[in-house]
Amino acid sequence: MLNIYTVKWGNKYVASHVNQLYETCKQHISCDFVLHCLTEDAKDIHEDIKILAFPAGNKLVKWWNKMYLFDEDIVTQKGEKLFFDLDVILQKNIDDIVNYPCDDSLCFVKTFWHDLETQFKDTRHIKHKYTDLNSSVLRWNDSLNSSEIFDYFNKYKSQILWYYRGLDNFFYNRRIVKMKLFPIGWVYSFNQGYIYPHDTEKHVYRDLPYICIFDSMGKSEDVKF
Amino acid sequence: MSSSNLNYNFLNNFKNWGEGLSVIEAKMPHKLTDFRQSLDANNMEASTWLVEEVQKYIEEYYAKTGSLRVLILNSWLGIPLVPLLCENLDVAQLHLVDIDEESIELSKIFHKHYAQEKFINIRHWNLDVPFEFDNLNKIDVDLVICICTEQMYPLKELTTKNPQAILAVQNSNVVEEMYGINCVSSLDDLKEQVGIDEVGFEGTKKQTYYSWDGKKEYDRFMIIGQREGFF
Repeated sequence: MLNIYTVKWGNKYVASHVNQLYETCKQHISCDFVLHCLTEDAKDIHEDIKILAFPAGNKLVKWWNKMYLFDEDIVTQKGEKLFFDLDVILQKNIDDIVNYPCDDSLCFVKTFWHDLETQFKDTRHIKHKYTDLNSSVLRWNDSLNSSEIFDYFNKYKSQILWYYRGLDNFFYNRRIVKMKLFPIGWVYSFNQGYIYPHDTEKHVYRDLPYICIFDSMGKSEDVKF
Repeated sequence: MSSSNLNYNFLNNFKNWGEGLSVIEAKMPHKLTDFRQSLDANNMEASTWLVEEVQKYIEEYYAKTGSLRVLILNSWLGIPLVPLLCENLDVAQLHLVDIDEESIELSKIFHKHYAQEKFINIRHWNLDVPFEFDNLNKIDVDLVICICTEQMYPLKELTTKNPQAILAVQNSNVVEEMYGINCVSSLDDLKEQVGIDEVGFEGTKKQTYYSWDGKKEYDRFMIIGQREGFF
């Protein structure tokens, strides 16, 4: 059984986003799965979606709540795991992503749409600002040392929240876990493009990739449907 | 440059600077900018100011004046701070900490003279400071220096093994500069950021830089003090 997770925190997304993700998962994933939603507000979320609560007194905000994916007191399900941000669009059957062997690694999307070489050069003096990772889609299983990630995050939480804009920069720079990347071409960014330098047109729908995400690089152009 | 009594005799280093520059030329051409920036007037002035005031502070307030053990955070290429310190203080041990491996590689070459001919024990550490407080706090030093706390997580957790270690830190109010993620607007802010209430020295220097819309003036702040000391 595949376990799929998503995180809904605050009021940027509503129950209909979660329900819509559930419907598209049913449409585009061939195997049996359970969708779990980490949220503090389960109102109007489809009854077949399993609700996972944040810990009492949770102080994390926005995307940082995705770190609870590695809290073994919250994500207790065994087996293969897949995570989607609530603004991703599954464009077609994604069995290749479901079956992608993640070994003992955490699989990320690589931001092939950016001029990574230039970005790397431009951020040489501010290393914490560089990343080529995107965590809109994640794949892992029980071989991943989740507790190591979560313990590290808790130990250095104030530094991490202070230094890094989000999980992508944090995971890229701290290298605390084995990481693997989804192959080139599987995911594109509606806001940024597909593959640099060949196809970088913004705000264009592409048919070929499995998943469309809305990587906004901190700008306010993200989303929606 | 201020007119001070500091010794600027760096000529003995220059053969190593030549070697460092050949490494830049052959292996790290992008580091030429770093080298040039390290010789920038503001950085020279900031480093000179710090060493002058540290020298006075040690004479006035610190029990020990010889065989000093110094820790430099975000040491970068160590230019001009390492030569200034080695030429003007009785330094026995120098711990240089930086996140950038290439800067460390170059720093090892640039300052070889002091390590190999002056027998100063220079140790380079490739560390990201905020995530290494546990390790840094195991190092026994007399003096901790950071002239670029603009780029750093607050240093409150940094104690070193010596509770009486002198902390000499600088920051500025250049909030527009892209690296300034932790700028302060006053000396009090800097004290708060470092976690020192009372200091033996505090001062402000006006410096300038050029932005897209012309010359800009800003304040460079410095405090020198101890968490446990005379104050």
